[in-house]
Amino acid sequence: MVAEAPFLVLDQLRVQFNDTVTIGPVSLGIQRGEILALLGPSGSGKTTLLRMLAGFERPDGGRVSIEGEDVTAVPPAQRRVGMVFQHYALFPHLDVGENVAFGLAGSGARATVDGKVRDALALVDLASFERRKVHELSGGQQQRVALARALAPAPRVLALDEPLSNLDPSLRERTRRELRQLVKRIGITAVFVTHEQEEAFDLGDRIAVLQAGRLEQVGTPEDLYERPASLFVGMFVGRANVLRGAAARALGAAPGHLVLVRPEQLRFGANGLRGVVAERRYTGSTAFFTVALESGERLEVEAAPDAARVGDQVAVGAGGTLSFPEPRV
Amino acid sequence: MTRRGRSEPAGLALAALLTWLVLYPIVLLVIDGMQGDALKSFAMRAGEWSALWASVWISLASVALAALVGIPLAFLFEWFEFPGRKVLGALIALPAVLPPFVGVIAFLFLYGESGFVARFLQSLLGLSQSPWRLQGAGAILLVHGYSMYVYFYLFTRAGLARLDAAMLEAAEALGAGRLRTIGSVVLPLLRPSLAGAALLTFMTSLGSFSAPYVFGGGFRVMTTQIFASKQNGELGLATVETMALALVALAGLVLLRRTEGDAILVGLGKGTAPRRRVLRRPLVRAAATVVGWGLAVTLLLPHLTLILVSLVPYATWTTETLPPVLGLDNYRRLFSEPERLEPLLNSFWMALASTAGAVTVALASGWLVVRRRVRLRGWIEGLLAIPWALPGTVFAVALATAFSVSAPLELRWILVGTVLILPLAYLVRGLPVTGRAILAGFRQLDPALEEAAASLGAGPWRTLRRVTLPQLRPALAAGASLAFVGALGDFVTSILLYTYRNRPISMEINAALRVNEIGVAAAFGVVLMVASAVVLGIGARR
Repeated sequence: MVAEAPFLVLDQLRVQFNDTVTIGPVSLGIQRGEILALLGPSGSGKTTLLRMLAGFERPDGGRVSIEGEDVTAVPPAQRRVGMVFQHYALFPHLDVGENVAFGLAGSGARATVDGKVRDALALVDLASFERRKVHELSGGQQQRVALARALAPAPRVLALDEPLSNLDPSLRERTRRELRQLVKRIGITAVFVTHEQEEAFDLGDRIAVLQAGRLEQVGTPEDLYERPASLFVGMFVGRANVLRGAAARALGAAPGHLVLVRPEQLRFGANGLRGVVAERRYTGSTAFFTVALESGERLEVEAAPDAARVGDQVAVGAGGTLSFPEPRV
Repeated sequence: MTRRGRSEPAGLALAALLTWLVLYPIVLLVIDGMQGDALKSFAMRAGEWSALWASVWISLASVALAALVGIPLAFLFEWFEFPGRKVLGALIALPAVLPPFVGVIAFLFLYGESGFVARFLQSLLGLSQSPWRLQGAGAILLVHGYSMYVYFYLFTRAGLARLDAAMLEAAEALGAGRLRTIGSVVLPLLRPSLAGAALLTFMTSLGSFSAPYVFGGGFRVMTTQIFASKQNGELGLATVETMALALVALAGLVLLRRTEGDAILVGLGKGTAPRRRVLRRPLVRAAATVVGWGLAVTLLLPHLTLILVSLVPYATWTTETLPPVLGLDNYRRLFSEPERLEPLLNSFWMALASTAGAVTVALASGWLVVRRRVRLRGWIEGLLAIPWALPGTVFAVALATAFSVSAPLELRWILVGTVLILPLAYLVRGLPVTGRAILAGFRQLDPALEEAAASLGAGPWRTLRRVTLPQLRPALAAGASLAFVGALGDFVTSILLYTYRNRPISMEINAALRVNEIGVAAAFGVVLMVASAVVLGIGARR
C-alpha cells in the first residue's frame, strides 16, 4: 500500500520561550479525517503545539502544512482552522446565533448565512437556541455552541483545546462519545489537547504523547499501552509498577535495566516475588492489591476480588513485562 | 437581636446627620429658589439659557474629545510593547490625580497668549503681537480634552486588561481581521468601561469651573454664570442657576447610567488578558515609540512648563522667548513670607480636618450599612453618593444658602464668613470617594474574621482596632488620599466660600495671577502637584 501524503503536517516545529524552555522540534503527520490527541502533563507543550497549528503562536522553526499548502506564515484568520477554546471564548455580547454566524461574515446572502447557522446548531443538537443569550446556557450547551461556531465556516481542520475540561465529570464521558461521533460524521480532521489519558483513548484515533516539549511517541491507544516507546509513556499511560535492581532482575530484566509491569499482568501464584498483601481496593469485577515485597518495594496487582486477603503471604508472578534502560540520574 | 437593637438608633443618628449635611442644604436651596421672582427672571434672560446650553454642549464635546484622545492612547499602551511604555503609561495617567486648577494654569503658561508656544511662534514669525488669544469655547474644550482624556485612558486600559485573550483569538480563528475584531468584539466588550468614562467626563466637565473661569472670557457656562451672579449680589438668581445646573447633572447621570448596560459582559471571561504585542518590524516599532513618546510628552508638557515657570524670579522675564533667569526664589518666598506660608498651612489643615471627618462618617456608614445592615442603609448610602452627582458649585451655593441664617430651631447657624464653612464643604465633597472606598472595603471583608476575634475574647474596640481597621487599611488609604487631594487643590468650592483668614492655596494662586506674579503662582501649583502626587502615592500603596 502506498502511503498517502498526510493531510496535515507539522514538520520540525520548534519554538523557544526562553533559555530553558523549548518546545520541539516536533514532526507529525495526520491523515484526512483522523482524530489526533495531543496528550501530556501540564507544561509539556501540547497547547503550544495546537496554537502553532492554528496560527496563534509563531514557530521559531519548522513548517505547518495543510493539504500540501504551507500555512506557516498564514495568519489565523486565513488559515481555515476551526478552534474550540478551553473556556469556549463565546462572545458574551452576542446571542447564540450571532456567535455562530460570526465566522460566516461575507460568505453570501443573509439567507445563506442563516441557513448555515441553523445547520451548524442542528448539528450540535441546539436547533432552537439561536436567540438565546450565551450566559443562559449550561456548560455543556456552551461547549456545543463553541463547537458549532468553529464548524460553521467549514474549516479544514478542527483544533480543540481541552474541550471537556470545563464540564462536570458526570457529563464528560457522554460528551466525549458524542463529540467523537459528531467529528466522525462530518469527517473533519481534528486535533485536540488533553492531559487525561482516558479522554485521549476515548476520543483519539491516534495519540501523540508529549513531555517537556518533546514528542515521546505517536500511536494508537494499543501501541501506547502495550508497546510504550519510553519509560515515561509507559508510566503516563495506564497503571504501571516500576521495579529496579534485584526485583527487576527476578522478572527477567538485564543488568542496568528496570522493569515496567501492568497490574493486570501480575498474578498470585506459587513462585515469584514474595511479599505480604498490605491493602485491597475493591472495584467490583476485580480488586487491586497492594503487595509489600520483601525487598521493600510495593506492587499493585489486579486480580479476582477473592484472590487474596489483607495480611496474606503471597508470591507474585508476571505474565508480560516491559524493560527499559535505567535512566541516568 | 440586641446588637441590632443598639445599632438602629446609631443608624438613625447617622442618617439624620447626613440628611442635614447633604440633603438639607439642597432642599433649602430649592425652597429659596422658588421664592421671589428669581425663577421668572432666569427664564426671561437669554444669557441664562445660552449659558445652560453652553454647559451641556461643552460637556458633550468634551466627552467626544476625551474619547478621541484617551481610547487610542489606551490601546497603544495596553497592546503594544515599546521602549519606555511602562513609565510613560503611568505618567500620562497623572493629570487625573492633579488638581484641575493647577492643570489650567499650567495650560495657560504653555499655550496662553504669553505662554511658551505663543512666544516661540511670535519670535519665529517676527510678529509684533501674540499669534492668538486663548479664549472662549475653543480654549475651554482644548483644556477639557487635554485633561479629561485620562478618564477614557484609564477606563479603557482597565477594560482591555480584563479582556479575555481567547475572545480575540476566537474572532481571528473565525476569519475576522484586525479592524473587525476591534469593532465587533473588543469595543462591545468595552462598552461598560467606555460608558463609565463618558459619565465621569460628562459630570466633571459639567462641574468644571477653573477652565471656563480662566479661559472663558465673555463665554459663560453655568458654573461661571453662577459665580458671576453671586459676585453681582444677585443671590436669588444664583440659586435658580444652581438648581438648573443640578437638574442637568441629574438628567445626565440618569441617561448615561442607562447606556452603561449589563455587567454580564465581563462576567463570562475566565481567561487571561492578551499578551502585549512586541513590535518586531523595526519601522513599526520606531513609529509606535515615536507616537507613544510624542503623545506622552505633549500631554505632560503643561506640567513640565509649570515647573519651569515656577523657577522664574519675579519681573525677570519680559519679552524673551525663554526665561533668562532661573532660580529657587519663588519657593524661598513661599516658605519664608508669612503672607505666603499661611495659605499653604490653611489648605493643609483644612484638607486634613475635612478628610478626617469624611473618613469617620464613611467608617460609621460602612459599619452600620454593611455589618449591622440597619434599616436606613439604603438612605445612608444614597446620601453619601449625592455630592458626586452634583457639581461642586451646586454644593457650595447650597451650603452658603443653608448656613447664612441663624435659626437654631431649623438647625441653621451662621457659618458663612467663618473659617468653618470651607472645611465643612470639603468634607461633604469628600464623602463620595471615602464612602465608596470604605463601603467596598467592608463588603470585601470576611465577617468571620470579626467573629473569630469575638470568639477569642476580643471586645468591640479591640476587634475594631486589631482586626477590622487593619483589614480596611487599603480602602481607607485610597479613600482618604483621594479626599485629601481633592480638598487640597479645590478651587470651585473655595472661590465661593473662602474668607481671607482661611484662604487656601488655590485662592492665593488666583490672586498671584491677577497681579502677574506668575512665578509664585506656578510655585504654589508645583507644591500642590507634588503634595497631591505624594499623598496619592502613599494612598495607593498596598
